[in-house]
Amino acid sequence: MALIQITEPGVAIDPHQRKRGAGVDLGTTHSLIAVVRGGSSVTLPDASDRHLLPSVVRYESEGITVGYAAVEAAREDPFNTIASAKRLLGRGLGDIADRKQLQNYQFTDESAGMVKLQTIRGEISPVQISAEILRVLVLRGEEALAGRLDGIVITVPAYFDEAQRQATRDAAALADIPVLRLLNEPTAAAIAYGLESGEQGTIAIYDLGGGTFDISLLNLQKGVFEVLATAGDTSLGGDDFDESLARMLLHKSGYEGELDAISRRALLLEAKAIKEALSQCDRVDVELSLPAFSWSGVVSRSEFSQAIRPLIETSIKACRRALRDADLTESDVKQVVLVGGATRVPLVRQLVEAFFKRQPLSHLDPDKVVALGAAIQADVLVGNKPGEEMLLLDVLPLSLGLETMGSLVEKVIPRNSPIPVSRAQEFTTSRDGQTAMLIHVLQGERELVADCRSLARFELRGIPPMVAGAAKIQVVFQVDADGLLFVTAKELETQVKASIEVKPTYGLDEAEITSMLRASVTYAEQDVQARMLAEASVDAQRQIDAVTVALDKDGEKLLDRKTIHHLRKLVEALAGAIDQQNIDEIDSVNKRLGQASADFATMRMDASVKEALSGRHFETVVEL
Amino acid sequence: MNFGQNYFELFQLPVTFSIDLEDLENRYFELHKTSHPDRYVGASDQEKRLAVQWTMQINEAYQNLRDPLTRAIYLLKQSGVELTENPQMGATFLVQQIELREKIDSIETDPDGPEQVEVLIRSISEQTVELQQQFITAYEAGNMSEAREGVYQMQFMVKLQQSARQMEEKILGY
Repeated sequence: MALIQITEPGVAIDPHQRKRGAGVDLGTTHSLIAVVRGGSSVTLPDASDRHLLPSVVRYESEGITVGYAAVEAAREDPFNTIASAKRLLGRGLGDIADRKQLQNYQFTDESAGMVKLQTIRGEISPVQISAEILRVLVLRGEEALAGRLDGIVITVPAYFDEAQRQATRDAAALADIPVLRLLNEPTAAAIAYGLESGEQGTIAIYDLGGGTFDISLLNLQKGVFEVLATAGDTSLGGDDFDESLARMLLHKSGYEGELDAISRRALLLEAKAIKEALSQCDRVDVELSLPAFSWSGVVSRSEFSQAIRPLIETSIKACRRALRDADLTESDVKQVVLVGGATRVPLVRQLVEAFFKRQPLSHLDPDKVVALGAAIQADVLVGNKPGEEMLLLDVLPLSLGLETMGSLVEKVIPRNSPIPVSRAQEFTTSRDGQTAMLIHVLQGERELVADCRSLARFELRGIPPMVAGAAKIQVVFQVDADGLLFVTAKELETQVKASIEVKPTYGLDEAEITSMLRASVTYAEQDVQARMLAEASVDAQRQIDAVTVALDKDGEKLLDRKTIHHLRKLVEALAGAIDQQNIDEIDSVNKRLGQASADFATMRMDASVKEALSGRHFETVVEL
Repeated sequence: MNFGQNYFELFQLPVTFSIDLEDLENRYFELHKTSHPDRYVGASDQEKRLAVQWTMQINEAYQNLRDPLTRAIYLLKQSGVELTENPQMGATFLVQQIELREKIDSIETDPDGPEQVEVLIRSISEQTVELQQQFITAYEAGNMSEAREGVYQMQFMVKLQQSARQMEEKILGY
């Protein structure tokens, strides 16, 4: 859904007016929103001055609660109170089969597609849960900026695959919030640090959160943030430290029986508190009194460190792998940044420092740094900083490929390719007269289909009948700046475009999103009409502004007088249609203006790309 | 947009194998500053689409020119030289390849594996650079059949290097 701005009919939006952008860190355990105010990025608190919003949503028959209130209900109403929905986004039942989370909720028995949870308000998708969290944060942002947001940047783990990114986008669509860009969390952290200290060169972002670990290597040059490589582990985080510590406490107490659910939960909470205390002190006195057993004693930092060392070493291996992918060594890294609450643990800092042989940066709050960076990027993208040199060049986190004979995966776009990217692959038929073909899109690094993630299945129909091997079917993969994939296909010999049916394996299709939107009470039928008109007007106004600016700037340089006159007439007609609030007229004139200005837009773009390199002086040193 | 524009023209560089990677990177960044979709968030759908297409083209060109092997292949294509998928290689070269492969395989059980694999990776890199030199000489002299032979050998070395790296990952347990 496009953004809606309600203005007086016929009154154009003042282009100099400051736009409202915000950065959202949609986290596993907690979420935040940040905005740029008075030139600096700040996170926004709730009415009780709490900046973090627990990512917990409770469904009740009479309403939905999000955040702290929902956390309190978790114990009494476990199946209707959902925490860590981020782990379920874009995931099927099979993906979480071995997870603790499976015991906590009631999943519906669907073997295919994204998981759904059974609650008092019916089946709920993780996308809907994420949308509720987004709504609360965006409301906070709108109150702070006194108006509707023009767009938000949402952060995602660099390691998120296609299905998880799409699900995040869907959540925003469901909450009716325009998304400017999905931004990788480590890149967001780099923006927060990079802009502040003006760093140049290769930097490493070590992000250890509650449940996931990411390492990213970025190249910072004159305002350009280029992602060189990412690696990580989607099931390694501070929660695992708590688990280790809980096991240690259990061992120390000598208790050998089964733990009931309440004792287990209390033990984990106790472990978490001890972990946090051990970040400050060398030893902690512990008084455990659980339903199952009681114990008192001492836990030292060194025993804790010993218990979690193997976990941290796993993360260091991923660091080595990322360096390898980027063709770099530890000594090439000029700066290391720590992100995520779990990086407060002293042994983490110590091992990271030992590996990179450099003291890591951590002066920004590791819980907030991602949202702070996202807000800066949002501010640039909404256009509040014209002439801003900052630009992010991102890469594909995991390879994309297709299933071929023998259940093998043929890679079409390798991981760490800069995006947006477009690649084509040719296939042929295996039988005489074959008119259809099933193509299976996968993501991952392994060779076997079973070890990769199934993204979608494509059925190509309408291939002209030919002898086996004669048809040439070209499948084109296009990944946009958000890392989202689009696929098209055609038969090359006859130029017949085969029809494609996309069945996203873990995504929601258009119909599902529409029905979820309908189901939400905010959309009455007359609203839908008003929204369509408002959206068409905003779209048309944007086109008018774009064409007018282009004509003023380059019209006389690139076009003849007749064409300029024609375009100006259409602009007038479109403005008139907006005045009359006639949706059919708006759409039709807008379409004509779009067609009439297509060549002009192409010419301008060609010219500006050519100009980008002229007038710049490059040192051309010829070497191998 | 002119999709037929050659990659060197796009970066306004002379058509040659010897390019300065830092210079190429600077040009790459400058092109992106003009064409990246992030620069067109408030623009019309048409401009947005053009920006995405240009950026894809720039990325594709950069990826091809940055890597010595794909750059060499691209140069040959520009000169109208076709490559085959399964080239016939000389016996000496093949024997050398087999020996190197055996060496990679033997590292798995070698107690000095980690050091051995590092030495091997460095040696393969050096040999690849030598092949690049031979390619330049042949290409610049207009000896296309020798230049093509050089590309085939480079392809073998790149594959070998991948195997060596996979072995390194295996023994170091990445």
